[in-house]
Amino acid sequence: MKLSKFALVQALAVFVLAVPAVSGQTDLGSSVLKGAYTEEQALRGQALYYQHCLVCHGEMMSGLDQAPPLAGPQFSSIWNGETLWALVDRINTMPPTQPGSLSRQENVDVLTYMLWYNGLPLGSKPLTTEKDLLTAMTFVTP
Amino acid sequence: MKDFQQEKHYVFPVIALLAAILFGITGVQAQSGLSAQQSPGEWPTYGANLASHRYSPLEQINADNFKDLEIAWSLKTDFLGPRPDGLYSATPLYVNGVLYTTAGQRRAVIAMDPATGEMIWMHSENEGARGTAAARQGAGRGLSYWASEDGTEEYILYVTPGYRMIALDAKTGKLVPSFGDNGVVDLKLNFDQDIDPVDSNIGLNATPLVVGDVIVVGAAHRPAGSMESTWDTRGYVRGYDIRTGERLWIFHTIPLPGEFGYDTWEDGSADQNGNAGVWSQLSADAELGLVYLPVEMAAADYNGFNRPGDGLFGESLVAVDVKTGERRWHYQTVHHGMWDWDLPCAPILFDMEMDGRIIKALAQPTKSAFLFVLNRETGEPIWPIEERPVPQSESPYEKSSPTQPIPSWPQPFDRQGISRDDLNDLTPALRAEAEQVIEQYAMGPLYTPPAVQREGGPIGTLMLPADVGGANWPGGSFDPETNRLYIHSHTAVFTLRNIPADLEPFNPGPDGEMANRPPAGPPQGLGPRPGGLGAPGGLRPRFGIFLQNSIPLIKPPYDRITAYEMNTGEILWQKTHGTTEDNIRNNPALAGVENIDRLGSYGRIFVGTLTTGSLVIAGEGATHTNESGDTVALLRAYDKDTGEDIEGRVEMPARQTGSPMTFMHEGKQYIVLAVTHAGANAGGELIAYSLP
Repeated sequence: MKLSKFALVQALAVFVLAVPAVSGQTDLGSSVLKGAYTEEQALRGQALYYQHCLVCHGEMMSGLDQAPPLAGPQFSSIWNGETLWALVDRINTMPPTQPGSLSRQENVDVLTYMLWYNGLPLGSKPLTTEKDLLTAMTFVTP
Repeated sequence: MKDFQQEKHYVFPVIALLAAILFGITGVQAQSGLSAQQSPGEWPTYGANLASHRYSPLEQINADNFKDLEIAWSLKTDFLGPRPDGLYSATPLYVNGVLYTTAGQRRAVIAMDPATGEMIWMHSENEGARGTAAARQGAGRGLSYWASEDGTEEYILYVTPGYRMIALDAKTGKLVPSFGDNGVVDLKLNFDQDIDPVDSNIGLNATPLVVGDVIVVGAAHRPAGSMESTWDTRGYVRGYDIRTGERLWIFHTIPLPGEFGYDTWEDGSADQNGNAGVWSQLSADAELGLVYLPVEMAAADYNGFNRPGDGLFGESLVAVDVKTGERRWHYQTVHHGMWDWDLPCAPILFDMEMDGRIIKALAQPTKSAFLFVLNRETGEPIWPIEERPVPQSESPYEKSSPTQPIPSWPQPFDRQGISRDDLNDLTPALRAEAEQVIEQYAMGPLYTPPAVQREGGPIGTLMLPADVGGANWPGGSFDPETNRLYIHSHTAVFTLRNIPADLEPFNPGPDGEMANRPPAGPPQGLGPRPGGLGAPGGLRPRFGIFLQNSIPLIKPPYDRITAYEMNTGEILWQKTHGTTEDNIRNNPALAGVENIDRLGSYGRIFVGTLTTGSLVIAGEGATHTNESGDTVALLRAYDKDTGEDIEGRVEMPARQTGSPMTFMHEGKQYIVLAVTHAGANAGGELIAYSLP
């Protein structure tokens, strides 16, 4: 259930931030909260966003007309606790008139721009494009 | 194209005879010429009748037993398309013992057994590239029904994502060979404009409207808020002969040279603009022979650089002759719009009783939270609508309208304009934070225009209602027994973007060579580091019109249902509708604050109401977590006289995204509505409720 998964992630995130010594695969939320993408990647994502996404989702990701927000509580309330792979999978269906038109790398880059826009910190390593690894990472907002 | 059917034979009573008998029993015929299409237990058109009342006199489900409602059956629609439908917004029809609806990302049509949800037949069109490029994908709002006078022929008609109109035999689901080209009318043809059959930006997700033997079809574009492209497909409206699929007429929502209204676009700019479609549902008065077209904006939702002048018929309600398409009257609700305030929903037609007379009237809800109440024969306002001065644009290229039409009555159903008095005051700390946030924005009364980007200027202009309302595509519902109108609206702050400082009007040229110019790239130097991104959080607090990450900038309520007494225009009652969402409810900044369980649903909440013999029914447009830890949205019912909550907690598994309808089948009343699950498990679901 969404709530319990969210609560678990949030609890873990708080725990992880308070106790830096904890590490390992069980810290579901820690990686996005500790820097999961690079600025260079997010800048690429930004360029892609402006080219493919902005016209419907808006410069401020607040949504326009029928397209939903991609940042802020209306986005995080739906996606908190979901895997990064689920987000990449969704981005891959966009834009609706050209689903699957962006490469995996491009989809991931767009996601990193969204992570930046949602206030998640920059890191020293780029976000992976591998499905298995993305499935092990969870979207949480700070 | 897939065609599924089972071999079944139905004996249908003659519809006209049945209707005549039933009208003798109920009071539904009180509204002249309006309810002629509907027998009391049926739902033969999207809005229940051509007047768009979304009303049924049924009372088997009532205040005493609403709490006992159970799910009779439900259908997940994912399998009907290549991927799940992200927003299932259809309302099914019930006619002659069968439930019909569109469903799935590819807008399949299904006929179902209303008692069990069992599929009778299904029709699906794979339109290839044309479907993938479609301006409006997904299941759309549904479909339309037509029957010949003797009832022997019955069609189901709908518009596909690829903008083709299809007629199916309602009994078998097979294409009607005599309609158009073997059951299909290509709506990209015969459109008074040359457009690409695959890529052109035109389509529809509304249902067409059947009026007698004419079917009226609107036009919609890709939902987008472009600042820069104005040359686009024009959203003309057409009427077709239902038997043959022959085009009977076309109405130019953007006039051609020499046509009425052309001069309201200065410098011949009507030739340089597109859009002005009719993406909304329609209403019609079969007796008067009029169909009412709610027109959207002309191109460029947030500025009018390329269309100086009022620009008829953008943001206008137009009454046209249903047989010829000739304009009888029009009423423009926004002049030279800059706020994306398209007319979003069908006007509600009703017979008003005033000073002992009956006036054929209509009420047009707007995104901006007005009801424009007009005489539906003449277009004259029932109560004065005044042209009042409004703030003017500071852009040298924008000839904003000096005035806007403001209905003096009835009172608006939601908040208009934004000031310090609107700020969140649930706690002193939140109020203080809100005061800080707004210092970076411009804000003002209704019709404050967007600001021009400048150094040290506002980040944007705060706006209430938002670009998406107020009210939106679901529109309202009506009780013809008492002449009361019910409408849902939401209250959410929208940030109107600044006009880029370097944006100038451009002439797309005769060949549209500057058509659909892509938006300018990212602004340079967003943050403190030139060429870099700056600190994470994007343009926060630019989108951060939330306090403490999730609490709205403005005070509640965030969505509501308003009841009007339409003979006088008075507001009878107003109720906050939605349960507070988790991320607001659980925010630590609200710890200890009382009475925050039902603040209304915040955001882009589009909810339609259903009016029955005794209830107003609507589901919540957002979910919350119940005490058991489940994600739910409530199906709520209100006493239609007092607005009091009807006892009962009917929990749906997802938020309402399609307006509810009701019908009687084999002695049992059902309420059916579409919901949509969000997030990674997104997808549409059709749910039928009934008593145990």
